[in-house]
Amino acid sequence: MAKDLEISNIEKKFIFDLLASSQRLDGRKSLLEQRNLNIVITPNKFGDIYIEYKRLDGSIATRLHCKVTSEVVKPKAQRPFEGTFFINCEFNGLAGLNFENYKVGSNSDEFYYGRLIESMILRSNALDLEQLCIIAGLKVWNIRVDVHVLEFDGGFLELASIGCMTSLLHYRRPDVTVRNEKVTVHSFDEKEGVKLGVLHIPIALQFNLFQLKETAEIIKSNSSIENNELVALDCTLKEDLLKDGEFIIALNKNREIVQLNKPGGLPIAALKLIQFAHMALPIIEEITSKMLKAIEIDERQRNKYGHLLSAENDRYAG
Amino acid sequence: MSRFEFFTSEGLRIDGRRSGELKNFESSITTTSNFANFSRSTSTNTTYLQMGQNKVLVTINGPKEPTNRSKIDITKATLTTTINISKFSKVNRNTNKSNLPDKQTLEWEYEITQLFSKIVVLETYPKSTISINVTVLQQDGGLLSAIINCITTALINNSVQIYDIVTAVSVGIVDQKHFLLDLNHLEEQFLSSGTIATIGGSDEVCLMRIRDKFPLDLIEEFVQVGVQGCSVLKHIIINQVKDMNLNKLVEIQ
Repeated sequence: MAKDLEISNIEKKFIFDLLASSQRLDGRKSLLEQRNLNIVITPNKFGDIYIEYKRLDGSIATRLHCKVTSEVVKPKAQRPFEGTFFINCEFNGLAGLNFENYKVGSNSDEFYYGRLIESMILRSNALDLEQLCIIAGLKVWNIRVDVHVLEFDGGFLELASIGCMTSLLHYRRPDVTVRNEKVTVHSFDEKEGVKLGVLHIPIALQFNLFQLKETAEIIKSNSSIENNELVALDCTLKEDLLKDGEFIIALNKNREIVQLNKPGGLPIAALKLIQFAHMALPIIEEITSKMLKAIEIDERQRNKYGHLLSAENDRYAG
Repeated sequence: MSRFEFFTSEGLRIDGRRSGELKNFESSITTTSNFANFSRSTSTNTTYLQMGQNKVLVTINGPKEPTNRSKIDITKATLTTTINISKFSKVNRNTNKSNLPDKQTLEWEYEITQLFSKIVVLETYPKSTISINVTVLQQDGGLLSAIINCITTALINNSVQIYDIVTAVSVGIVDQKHFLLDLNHLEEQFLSSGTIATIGGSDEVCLMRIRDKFPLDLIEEFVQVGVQGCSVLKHIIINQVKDMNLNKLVEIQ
């Protein structure tokens, strides 16, 4: 991910030895343990979310800012009934010394991951674009998610996918009324915002592979019997630079694969791939419930005085 | 959703193949007319692959000294891939004005570079670059798999050291139960599909890519069908490479 960050041979060996004895550099005791996920929703705003991974000692390892904005635009000529959606992933100098400003090469991991999340949401119809249409062929909503990396120590893909989905679930766009082809956009004071149509919640998970043997040995041996690689979840930056391959899977809790990618790298046995896919499901279910809970808590705080303002009569049973 | 019957009760697909049947696969080395002048230069060999209606040309340039000194890696060679999908390759001409590749192509470039940098024995060519240039002349379904197969054949033809042969096929699913191997254009458009690449015809998966919604419980069969297809394809490629090189030998003598 980061360029020009060289790891000395001694450190490399140390990290590998740690991994081989299922220890992590930041004190985690298992290869499959993830860091603590924390979702912070900015009060008084819609779709403005900070999402962070915390280390065991409570310090912040990775922190992302996801913000959803919307505007009224003209739709694409081929799809007059659909709104548009765009994700902008940005790594800049803020994330670390090894990232350059305004330079996202087309062959870089950032580009690849950003694109993966975009197609994860778009191709699986996670965001219903037809609900974003105001007047067919003339005016639709353009939803844009900006993902900024504020602090970086690995785990970009998971955090970005969780952040994007949380902010989309949380966001409310202004309500509109159409009268005689005239569109009025109401501010939040006039009318309450409208939630986006999120049909299901895909979340990506990245399995990182570390090879234990020489590549030639792995390819020539019958690996379904032997154990040739280590698999780790949620790598730190240093581990990320040393990895020999990855396996990315995006699932939703309806047991559907939304994206599955193994972009080259270390070959692994087909059986193990299937195993990983099944392993990912409980993790994703857990993350999804965490996300929904965070949104629910925020909702409750927002509507603290909702019952006072309600014009609804109390009803008593019986 | 499907307006077409992709898999009839007799077990036939739209183009008359059976479910596990591969498209016709043909590859050849084209040598440019000035072959004699540069007979030692590897870049004059172009490998042409026709997989169904996919027509792919691959030239491999290198191993050679990199033009940019900063790109030198002392321990191993660096691999670069460029894919050029010609605008006339589809039924509808691509209306995109700019000559820059689209995002999908860039993604493929990334994946293919990652894939082949583990397959090519890069340590044997230190301080050099190997660049793979792909040109797609015509596309049908499963273009990524055709490109990967063509690159493998090209690497062999150019005598670049590789650990083993990589083969790729696309797999689609009809009605949640029938698996179709090596999709054509129509099938790819309407079915959930994915590409799978294995090394040496074994069950070692080195690339896998599913971009559509796909039920988790069917992944096992998906992989199984894909791996089988790949191992069949491996034998086809080996036979064709042998035939091609025999022809080449005859030509030289």
